[in-house]
Amino acid sequence: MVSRGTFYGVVAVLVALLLLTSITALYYYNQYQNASSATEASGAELGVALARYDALAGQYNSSLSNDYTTISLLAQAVASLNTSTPAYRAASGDLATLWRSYQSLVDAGGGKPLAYDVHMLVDYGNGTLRWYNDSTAQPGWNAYVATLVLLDGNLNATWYPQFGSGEHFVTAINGVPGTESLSWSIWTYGGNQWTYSQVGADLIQAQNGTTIAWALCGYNSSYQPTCVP
Amino acid sequence: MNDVRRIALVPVLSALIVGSDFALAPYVDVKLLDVMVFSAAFLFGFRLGAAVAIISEGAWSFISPWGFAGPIMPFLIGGELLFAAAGWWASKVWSDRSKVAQNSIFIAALMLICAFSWDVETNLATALIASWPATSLPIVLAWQVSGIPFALIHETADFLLGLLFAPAAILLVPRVMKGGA
Repeated sequence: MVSRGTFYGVVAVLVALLLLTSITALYYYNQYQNASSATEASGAELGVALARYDALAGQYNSSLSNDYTTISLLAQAVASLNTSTPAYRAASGDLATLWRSYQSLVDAGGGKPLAYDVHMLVDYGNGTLRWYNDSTAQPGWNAYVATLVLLDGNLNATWYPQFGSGEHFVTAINGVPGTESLSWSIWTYGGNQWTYSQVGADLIQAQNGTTIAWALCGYNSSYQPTCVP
Repeated sequence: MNDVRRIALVPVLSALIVGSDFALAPYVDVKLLDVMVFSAAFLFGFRLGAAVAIISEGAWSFISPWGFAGPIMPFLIGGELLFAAAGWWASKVWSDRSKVAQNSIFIAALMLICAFSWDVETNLATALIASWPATSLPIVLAWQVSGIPFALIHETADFLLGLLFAPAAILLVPRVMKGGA
């Protein structure tokens, strides 16, 4: 026969256990509820953030497109501006920077810039050659604009609007000017050989894989260059 | 034990409780107050235990490091009387002090139940004071739930003190007093 004291004691222990387990369960239930609420809040925040990201990505792509158009327009302006004007001098220097910036932005966004691969050789006529490989040009650029961008604007030229739709006569590249007997000539590469261009740089359209050369050459009496890059 | 000694025990125990409260101040929900009130009531009856509860809790409500307890003070004291009542009741149920060690788990369980009741009662009072007159069931429940982490510590501490401290006090205090008489 269980004594009264033992009976009450067992009841007390059972009640205590019940209370302890209940309050512990309640505690963890409350923790669960809090975590659940926090997760829901985070989910909602994530949804808002994703929507904002999508909007931002849309704006970013739109901005990139505008950037591309701006560069194209600027290239057209540079191609048909008198080289002695301040607008040309400013734009010719900034065009390369803008083009690089555009390509970096596209790369950062995981995209591939809409650009042609172009290669350029500068032959200074004294044995010094400098290649500009892994370079790019915007579709629509002519060889003059491409050269201007590849040289970061380090190109001097005289603008002759009276020839065709306007022609540039290159007078210096990277600070190396032509002389009375030497002039900068443009060449195109194809069929494993360099060919002297019969037209000016403005009339050579940059294509994907285009390779051109600028060479500081002398000229014979038929106005043909006396050197090959 | 004569009345003078009984009356003298009240301030002595109250002083011990308040002193231990200060010593344990960094451990907010661990206090010897509950188990000492319980033990006092077990050994010397409900009236003495209640007196110790009222004086020690009342004093602590004024001089605790957190400042004056304010309108919750009566509820704190009222809750403490539960321990006195439980101690007195336990002395009736488990009157054989020679078996107090065997019954320590029962005492511990009783202490836990009292601590739980104290927590529920004081949380309810806090909810009433904080939200009156706009008190509602959700508010009361919110206060109860917010107090759970503290309640768990308080109840576990009281359970352990009831398991170890109370039986020791119930066995040793009479021997000490007998020896000193």
